[in-house]
Amino acid sequence: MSLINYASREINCKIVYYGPGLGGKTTNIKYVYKQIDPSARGKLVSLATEADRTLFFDFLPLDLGQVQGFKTRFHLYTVPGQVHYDASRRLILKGADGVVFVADAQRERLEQNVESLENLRVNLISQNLDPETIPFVMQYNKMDLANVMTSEELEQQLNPKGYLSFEAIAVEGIGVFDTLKAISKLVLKAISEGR
Amino acid sequence: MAADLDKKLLQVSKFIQKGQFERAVKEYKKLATIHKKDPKILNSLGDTYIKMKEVDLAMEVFNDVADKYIKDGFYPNAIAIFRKMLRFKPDEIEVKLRLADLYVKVGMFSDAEFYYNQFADHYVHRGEIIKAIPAFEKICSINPENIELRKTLAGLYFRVENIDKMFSMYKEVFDYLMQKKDNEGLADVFNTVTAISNKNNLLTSPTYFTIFEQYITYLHKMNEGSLAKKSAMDMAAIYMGLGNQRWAQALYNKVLELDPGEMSARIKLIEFYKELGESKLLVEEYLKMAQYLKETDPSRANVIYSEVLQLDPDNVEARTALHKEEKAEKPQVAKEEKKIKEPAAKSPSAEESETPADLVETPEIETQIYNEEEKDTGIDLSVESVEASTGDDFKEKLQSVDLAPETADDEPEITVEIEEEKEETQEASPIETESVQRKKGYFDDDEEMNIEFEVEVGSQGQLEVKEKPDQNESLETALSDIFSQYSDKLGNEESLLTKINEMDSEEFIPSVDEIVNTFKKGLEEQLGGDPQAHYDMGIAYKEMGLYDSAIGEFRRLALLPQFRFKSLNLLAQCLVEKGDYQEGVDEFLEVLGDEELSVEERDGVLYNIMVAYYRAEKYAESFDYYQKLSSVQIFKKDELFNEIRKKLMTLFSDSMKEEDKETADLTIEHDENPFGESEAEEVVISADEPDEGTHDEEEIYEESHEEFLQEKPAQESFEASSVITQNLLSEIEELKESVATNEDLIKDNSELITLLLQSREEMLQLKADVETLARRLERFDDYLSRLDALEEKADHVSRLPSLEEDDAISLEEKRLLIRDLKSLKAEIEKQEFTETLDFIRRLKDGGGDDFIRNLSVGTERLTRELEEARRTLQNLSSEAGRKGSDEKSSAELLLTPEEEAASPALPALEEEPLLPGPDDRLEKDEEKEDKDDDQDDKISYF
Repeated sequence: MSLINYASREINCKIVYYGPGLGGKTTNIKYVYKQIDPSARGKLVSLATEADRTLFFDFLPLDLGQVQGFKTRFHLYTVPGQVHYDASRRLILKGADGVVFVADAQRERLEQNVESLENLRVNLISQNLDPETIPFVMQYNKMDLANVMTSEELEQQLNPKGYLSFEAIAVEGIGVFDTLKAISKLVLKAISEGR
Repeated sequence: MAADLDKKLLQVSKFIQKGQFERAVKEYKKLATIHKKDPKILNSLGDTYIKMKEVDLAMEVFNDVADKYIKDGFYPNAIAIFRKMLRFKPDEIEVKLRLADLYVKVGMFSDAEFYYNQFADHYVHRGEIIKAIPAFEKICSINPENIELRKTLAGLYFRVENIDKMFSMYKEVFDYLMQKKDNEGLADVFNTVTAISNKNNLLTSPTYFTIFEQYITYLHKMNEGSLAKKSAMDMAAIYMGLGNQRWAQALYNKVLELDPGEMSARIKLIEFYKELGESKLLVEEYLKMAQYLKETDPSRANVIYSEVLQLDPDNVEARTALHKEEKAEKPQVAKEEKKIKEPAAKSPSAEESETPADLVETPEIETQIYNEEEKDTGIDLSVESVEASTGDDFKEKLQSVDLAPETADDEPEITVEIEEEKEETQEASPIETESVQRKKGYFDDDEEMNIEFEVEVGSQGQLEVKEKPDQNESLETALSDIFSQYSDKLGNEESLLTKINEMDSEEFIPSVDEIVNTFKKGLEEQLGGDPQAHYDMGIAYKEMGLYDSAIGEFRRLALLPQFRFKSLNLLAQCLVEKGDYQEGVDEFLEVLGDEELSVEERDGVLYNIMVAYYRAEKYAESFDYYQKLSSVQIFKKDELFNEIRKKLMTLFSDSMKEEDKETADLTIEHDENPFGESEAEEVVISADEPDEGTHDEEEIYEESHEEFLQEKPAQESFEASSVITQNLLSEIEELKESVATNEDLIKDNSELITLLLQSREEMLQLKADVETLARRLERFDDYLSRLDALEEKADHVSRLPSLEEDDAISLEEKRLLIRDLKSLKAEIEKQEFTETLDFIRRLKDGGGDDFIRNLSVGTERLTRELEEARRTLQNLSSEAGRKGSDEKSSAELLLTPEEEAASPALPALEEEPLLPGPDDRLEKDEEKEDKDDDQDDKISYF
C-alpha cells in the first residue's frame, strides 16, 4: 500500500522488481538511474546491512512531481534473486504497490523463472497482497541472446493470464522504460481507484 | 503508597474532567505539600495550569519538576518535561539551553547540538551575539574533532572583540593541526591569525608570538628551514620596527637555535646588542660567531676575537684563541705562560640579560670548562706563540705583537699589530673570493690595514687588551665586511610574511551569518551524506517494517530545519506502527508546537494523531481529533479515515451510560499522557473508603466523592446532551459532506451533463420521428388490408367467366369492381410516400444506425412487395380491361369520363416505395422497440 503522508503531502509508491537471480533486475534499475535527470531521482543505494540480518537490495527513488497537490515519488526496489534470500524478498515486498517480474528469456532459465514466479505468488500472499489484483507487468529480458524462447512460448509458459508484457534487452535499455511506464500507469491507476 | 498517590491523582483528575480547575489546582498543591513536591504531582499541576491557559504558571511548575528529575538523575524524564515546556512556549530560550545540556548528559549529541543552535539563533537574530557564544562553545566542546567549528568560533570571538579568547582558540586549533601534521590547515590558520593580528596591531600579542614561533619550528622540522628562517628574520625586523626588541631578539635567537650558522641572525643580534650597549651579550655573540667561523674562516674569526678583546680584554676565550694562533705560528716565542682566570666580577649573569633564558645560550658553562683546560695546560701568550699560532693568513696580517711588560712588576705588555694586505686577504678563503668587490671597499688603494692591540697582563695576571686608535677603524671595517657578506644570505628566500600587508583580515574572518551557518552545517555533516538519501532510506526502512532503522534516520534528519517537520512526522508514525503510541503522540504534539505550520500540515498531523489514538484503541481521544477534521475535504475519500469515522460513530451512538464510563476512563489526562497512565486508569473510584493518609487527605476524598455523587446526574445529563449534540453535528457534517460531494460531482461533470442533455434532445427527436413512422406503418397496414381485399376481388375477377360465358355477372357488379379499383388507386396516390422516404433518408444522414439500416432493408422489401402488388393490380386491371373491352360499349356506358381517365390506374405507384407486408411491420416494430431500448440504455449509461 502506498504511503500517503497528508502532513508532508507526499505519496511514496513502491515498485518491486522481482525475478530469478542474474535475470537483469539491477540492470533495469541502473539503466533508469543513468537515464533520468539527477534532479528527478535520488541516489541509487545498493545493499544495506541492518543489525542482525543482512539485506541485499537496490533502491532508487524517482520523483514524479506533483499529483493532485501531493509530491509523488516512486521507490524502485530489486529483490535478491538467490533462493536463500527469501526473508529479504518478503521484507522488500512488504507494502509493494506494483511488481515487475523480470524473466530471463533463455531457454535453460525457464525453470528458475517458474520457481521465482511461484515464490512471488507465495510471498505476496504472505504480505497480505493479492497476486490477482496487484499491478503486475512481465518483462522478458535478454531477448538478444541466441538460446532464448520465443515470446509466444514465454507467454504460454510464464504469463498464461496475459498480464502486460514486454521484451527487453536491459543492458541496452531496450524495453526498460516501456516496462517502467507500464507499471507506473497501473500503480497510479490503482491508487486513484483507492485500491 | 504509590498506588495511593495514583488513586488520589486520579480523583483529582475528575475535577479537571468536570472543568473544576481551581479546585484541582488546590488539591494538587495539597498533595505536593504532603508528598514533598513529588514530580508526578507537580507535573499534573502544570498540566492543569496549561488547561487553564496559565502557561507562565505551568512553566514555573514544570521547571521545578525538571529540576527535581535532574537532581535525582532522571535525565530522560527531565528531557520530556523540557520538551513539553517548549510545546507550549517555543521561545523559552533558556529551556532550550538546559535541554541541550541534558542531551549532552545522556549522550544524544546531535539533539544537543540542535538545541544549542536554536539557542544561538535566538540571540543572533536579536543582534546579541555575545549571548549566543556559550551555545557555540558547547557545540565546539561536543565536537572536539571538528576544527572548522573552532576556527569559526575564533572568528566569532574576533567579531565580538574578545581578542584573548580568539587567540586562545586559534592556539588550540593550531596545536591540534600540528599534532595532526595538517600542513594546509596550519598555513590557513597561520595566515588568518597573522592577517588579523597585522590589521589590528596584535602582532606583539604573546599568543601570536607563540603561534609564530611554534610554526617556525614546525616548518624547520618539515624541511622548510629556509622559509622558517627567512620568515623569522622578517618578523623580527617587524618587531624591531614596532619597537618590540624583546620579540625580535627572541626570534633571532630562534633562528640561531634552528641553525647556529645562520650569520645573518647573529649579525642582527650583534647590531642589536651594540645599539643597546649590551657588551656582555655582544661579546657572547662575537665569540659564538668566531667559534663558528674559525673552522672555515680562521682569519675572520681572529678579527672577531680581536674585537672581543677590545670589548673585554680579559676574555679568556678570545685571548686563548688568538694566543693559540700565535703559538701555533711561532712556538719559539712562547716563553711566558700565565694562568688566566675569568674575573668573577665580570662574569655575565643570566639575570641581566633581556633575552629569554630558554632562547639564549649562556656562555658560562662553556667558559668554565675552557678555563679548567687552561688550568691544566696553561696558555702560551708569548709573542712567538702568538705569531706561531696565527697560521699563514693571519700571520701575515699580524704585524706585531708587543708583549713588553709595562708595569713595574715586569708584567709583559703584549702588542699585537695586524697588517692585512688586499691580495693576501683575497686568497685567504673561498668565501672571501666570492666577495671580492665588497672587500675592495675597505682593502683598497694599497692601504694597509693596521690593527694594533696592546695586550697587557694585569696585576692579577689577567690580560688587558688595549686597542690602538688607528687600529679601531680597521677592525670596524673588517667586521663590517664580514657582516655585509653574511647579513643578506636569506635575501631572496621565500617568507611567510611577504604579503602580510596585502592580507585582509576580513577575507579570513567569516561574517556573523556565515558563522551561524557554519554551526548549522556542522550539524548536517554529522549526518554524513545527503539528507535526502537518508530520508529515502528512512522511508524504505519504514515500508519494510524496519522501524528502528527508520526511526534512527528520521531522528537525525529531524535536526535539520528543512527535514524536521516531515521527518518527525514519519518518526512518530513509525513509533505508532511499532506500538509505542504514547511516544508517537508525543512526537506529533511536538510537531504541532511549531507555529509555522500551514493549515494542511497541521491537519495532516491531527490526522496522524487521530490514527494513533485509534490504533491505541483510545477512541475518545481519537474522536476529539476526528471532530477537528470531519469537515476537511481531503480526508473524505481516505479509506482509513472513513473506517475510523464509522467506528467512532458506532461507539458514540451507543448507550450513554456505557459511553460515559468509557469516555471517563479514556479521557483521564489524555492531553498529555493518554497511554502512560493505563494502570492508574484501571483504578476504580470506589475510593470513598478512609485512606491511610492524613486527616486532610480524608477530607479531600470525602468532599470530592460527595461532590462527585451530587453532580453525577447533572453531569450525565450534560454529557448525554453533549453526545447528542455531537451526533447531530456529525449527521449535519455528513449531510454537508453529501451535498458537497454532489455539488462537486455536478460541477465536475457539468460538461458531461450538457452533452447528456443534448443527446437526450436528439434521442427524443428520433423517438418522435420513429413514432411518426410507426403511425405511417399503421396506415400501411390499412393499405395492406385493402390490398388483400383487392386481391380477393382480383381473384374473384380472375375467376369470372368470360362475358360471353358468364352472363350471370351483371354489368352492375363489374361497374362496382372497377369503381373499387379506381378508389383504391386514388387512395394510394394520396399517401405521402415521398415524405416518408425523405424522413428515412434524414435518419440515415443523421448517423445511421442499425435500426435505420434495418428500416431501409425492410422498406426495400416493402417496396418490392408493393411492386408485386402493383403488378398484380395491373394484371388485374388489364385482365379486367381485356374482359371489359369485349363488352366495351357496356363498360363505357357504365364509367363516367373521369373514371375512364383514371382507369389506366396506379402509374404513380411505380415511383412510390413500399407498402409493408405483415412480416415487415413486425420487424419494424421490433426494431423500434430495440431503438427505444437503445435510447434508454444510452441515457442510463450517461
